[in-house]
Amino acid sequence: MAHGHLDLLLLGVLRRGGPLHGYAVIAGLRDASGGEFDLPEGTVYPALHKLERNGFVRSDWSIVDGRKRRLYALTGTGRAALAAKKKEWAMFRSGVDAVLA
Amino acid sequence: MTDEDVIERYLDELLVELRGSPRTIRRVLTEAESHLRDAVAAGVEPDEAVRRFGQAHVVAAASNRLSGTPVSVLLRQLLVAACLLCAIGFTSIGASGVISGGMDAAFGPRFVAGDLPSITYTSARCDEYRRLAPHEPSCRSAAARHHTNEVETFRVASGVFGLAGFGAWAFLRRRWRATPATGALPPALVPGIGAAVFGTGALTLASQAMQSIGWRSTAGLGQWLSAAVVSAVVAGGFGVSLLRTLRRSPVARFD
Repeated sequence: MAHGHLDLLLLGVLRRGGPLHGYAVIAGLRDASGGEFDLPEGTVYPALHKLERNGFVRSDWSIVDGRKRRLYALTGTGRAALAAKKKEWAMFRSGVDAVLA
Repeated sequence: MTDEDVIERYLDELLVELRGSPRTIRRVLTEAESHLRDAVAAGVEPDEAVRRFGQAHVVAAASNRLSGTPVSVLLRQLLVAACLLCAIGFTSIGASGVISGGMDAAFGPRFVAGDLPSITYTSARCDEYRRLAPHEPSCRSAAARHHTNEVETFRVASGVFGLAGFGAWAFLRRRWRATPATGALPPALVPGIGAAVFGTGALTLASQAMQSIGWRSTAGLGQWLSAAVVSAVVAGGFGVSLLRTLRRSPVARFD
């Protein structure tokens, strides 16, 4: 379920947390979902790379705690994409709610 | 196995599974290592950290889908490789034509492309051979001269075509230069195909030559022998190239 909306979830975590390295993104996703979204962690990195390729996030190498890490941050395009995806999600959710009510 | 070994072994497995440019592979590995060490530093057991990260082939497959080689790049590099193989093939045929010429000078046309003693000619066919080779004393020797001239001429013409193929290969290779970062084809592909094709060709041609000897006649032996020798030499060259390529492969699967 989470895999189908991984882009939206990752953009959401990055909007909350600012520039984050991959481990922090995954931890943020797990914490924010109350442990609901516990994905195979390694598959989150290709998703981040895809978001970067599409211009939704940018990344740079940085040394954090003495270790080389890639820090990811939302771009302006990413913020706009997040807003659009949130709107789509809200419409989808209200549609499902209406059917199930 | 120590904690360090668990992570190192996983990173080795991931490296072997990853495809793409060296930069992409280095990035994925660095992020994976950083992630696993962060997890261990946070108190997660290394085995558990690796399990949560996902099986190496699953993680690599997700990454490989993003860094797949565009079909256009693949087709260009296949075309360059095919051009090289064709150029070597046609040039080899030309070399066998030159060797046939040497055999012709040393042993005569009957040895190169003479018909077996069991072959007979109609008078019309005989007249045709005599017209094509008027200086030959007999119908059989005129036929041998005619066949030998054909063998030499067609093979040397193929060689000229092959040399032109080398020119086309050099042009295309310069135009679509593949670097280690963009090379889509395995380095062992061309030497592997070359060794297999020319090796098979050498064996087939040698068996044809042996068949001629089996008929207790050296008539026509030269055309098979010259081609077999060239094929064997080229197959040997490709074989050496294949071994060298495999030995300097950047990723050894076993220590």
